[in-house]
Amino acid sequence: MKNILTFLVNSLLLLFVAVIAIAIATLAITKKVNEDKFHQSLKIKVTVIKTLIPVVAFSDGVVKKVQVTNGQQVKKDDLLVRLDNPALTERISVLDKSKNNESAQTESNVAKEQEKNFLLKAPESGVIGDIFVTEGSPIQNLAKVLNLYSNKDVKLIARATTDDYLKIKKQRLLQAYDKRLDQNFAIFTDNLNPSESSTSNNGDKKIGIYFKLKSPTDSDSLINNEDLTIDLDSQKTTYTKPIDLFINFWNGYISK
Amino acid sequence: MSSINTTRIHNTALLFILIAPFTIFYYAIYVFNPINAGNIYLYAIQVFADIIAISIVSSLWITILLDLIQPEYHKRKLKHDPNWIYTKFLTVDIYIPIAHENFKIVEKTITSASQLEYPHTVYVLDDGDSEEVRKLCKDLNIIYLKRPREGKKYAKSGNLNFGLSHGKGEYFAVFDADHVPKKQFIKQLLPFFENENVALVQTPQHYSNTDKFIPAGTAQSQEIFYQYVQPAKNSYNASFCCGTNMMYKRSAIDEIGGIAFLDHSEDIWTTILLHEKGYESLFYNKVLAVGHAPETISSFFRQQNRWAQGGFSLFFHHNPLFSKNFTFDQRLQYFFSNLHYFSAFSILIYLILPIIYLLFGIHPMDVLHNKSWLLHYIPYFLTVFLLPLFLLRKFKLATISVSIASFAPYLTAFFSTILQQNYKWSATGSRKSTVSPIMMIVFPHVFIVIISFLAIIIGWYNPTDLTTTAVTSFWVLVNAYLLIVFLAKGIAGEKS
Repeated sequence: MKNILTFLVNSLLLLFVAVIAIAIATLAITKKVNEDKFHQSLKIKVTVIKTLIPVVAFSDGVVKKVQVTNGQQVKKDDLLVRLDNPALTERISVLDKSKNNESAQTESNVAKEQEKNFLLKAPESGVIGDIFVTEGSPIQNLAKVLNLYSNKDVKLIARATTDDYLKIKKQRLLQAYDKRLDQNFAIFTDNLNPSESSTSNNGDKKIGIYFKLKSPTDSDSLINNEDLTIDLDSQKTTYTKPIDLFINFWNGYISK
Repeated sequence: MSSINTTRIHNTALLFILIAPFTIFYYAIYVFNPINAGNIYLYAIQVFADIIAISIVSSLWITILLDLIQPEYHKRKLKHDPNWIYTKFLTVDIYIPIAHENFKIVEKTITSASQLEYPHTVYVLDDGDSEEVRKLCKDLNIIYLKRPREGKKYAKSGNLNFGLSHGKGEYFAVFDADHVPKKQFIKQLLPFFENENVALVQTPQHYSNTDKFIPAGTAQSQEIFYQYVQPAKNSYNASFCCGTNMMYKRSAIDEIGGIAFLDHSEDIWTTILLHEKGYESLFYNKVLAVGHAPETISSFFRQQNRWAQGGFSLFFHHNPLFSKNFTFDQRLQYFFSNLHYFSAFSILIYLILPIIYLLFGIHPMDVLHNKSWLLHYIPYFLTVFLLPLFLLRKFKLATISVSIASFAPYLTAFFSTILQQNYKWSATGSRKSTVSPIMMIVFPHVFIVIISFLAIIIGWYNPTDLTTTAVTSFWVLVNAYLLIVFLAKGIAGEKS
């Protein structure tokens, strides 16, 4: 009788303990699956950041011709703006007349050297941003002529929570979609930027993540401050680690 | 004249003692730096556990190290002339308090006690009212005493004091019912009392039934205490009584009003009272009695609970750190001994934190952005794990398993101490003990085992961080395995 009672108490307690354990486990797995579903439908916005290079005039004069338009692609050393200074041109022609005067010759050479600055060329290949001058307007030395967004070292920045970052980091290459061009760009994570951290309204801490383009030539078609989207759901892993096979199998098994 | 032998420490252990502070410090600068915190609540818990664990390891380290670097001339030299006991007529009493223990065990103890060399009187103090024991005493011509039913208070200490009121010997020894003394017990210990101030000589508890799982674990986890800690405490006159296998000086005990009246841990309290009166204690590191460790989970837990209650009640009600009459060394040493039982909190927290990580993906430390946690943790873990290994030379699975499992009796002792509830005393291995269903005492262990396996399954559903998940799963599996072994062996022992 006593043995049966002991057995009964033992089994009941075991059952009780097991039920509590399973309850906690169920809670945990529900939380995990829900989080996972939320993340899978997650789209992350990525902003293109191109380095801004201001192009400056190096002599006084007037703008003779603007060779480029806003948003135009230029290569390195392409002619952007042609300036003119009638005073200087005339001075050269006057000086050139007195061929025997050595000091006049020197002065003329200096002026010619200055004349070379009339041609403003692209320091890097890139996209023309804002143009600050119009044809025929006067311009002063060191005045800003236009902004050039360089195609070199293009960065993409996204703000994401730590969890998203982990999800992003799992993939070696990501596809970022550009709506304007209807085109995907392969990107990979570069580094984190703690100074870009921010806390959103609902209290989630977000961190700044920098990406780089896989092929640098892709940058030609991107515009500064343009938004791309990474759809985490559609990402395909480019290679699978053995452990991923296990995890994928397991996740599939549990999700059923 | 011979001095006390302290076991020499092996060179590898010595090396680890030198390395330990560095690895502990290296771990501490990582853990105690809030910048590395992950989940803030778990971090607070982790810091709490680590403070306890580090304090315990450091206290062991300080005790052994101080003993090691102490110059020989600074250690206590005590007279020990084996012939002194024959130059005088010294009266010796032996008390064997028993309560419901198995007759076969009691019989062996009583018989051996009666056969000790050197004239002595044996008193059997029976709280269990056993007819067999009474008959045995009559046959052996031994004094059999039984407390009157209405005066049965304070378990063992009450029983002993009752015996003391009958015995008149100048010195007396105490043996628990399951500790069988060797013949030369009195002859070896009595000469120490030539030193006027010595009031207590304690010998180690040694277990014969180490072929069983739980006794093997208990024996080895106590080995550090008896091989290193108690001998080291000798240097500071802070070694204390362990309840059995010791000799007291009667006049000293009379001066403090008898054995301390308590339901548990009267041994350490009595030693404290003796030390406060300025008496000296001595730990003699030689096995002179062979005991019987608890074999079943329930009796093992009861024993641990009793010891832990002693530790906690001392800590909360008579903290030796603030005792007036102690030397600084004594205060520190008693405090270190008390600390040991707080390890229960650390063990429980260390068992649960990895499970929480696997279940909910939250970690006390920031493991995502700082990969150096393994770098800081591994040397610390190795030191803490290998230090006892090198001290003991070999480490049994049973030792780790039993030490981990003992968090439960420690915690119940902690709560019954702070809630001032008295745990009902019953003897190690006594027959009454097998009544309560086993699940009543092992449910925390069973719960941890079940949730461990569930946690591993869940942890591998979309793990956020592969390295951490792998390491944590391994850790959880090891813990679960140790607990399973304890439960399996313990429950098997319970049935037999």
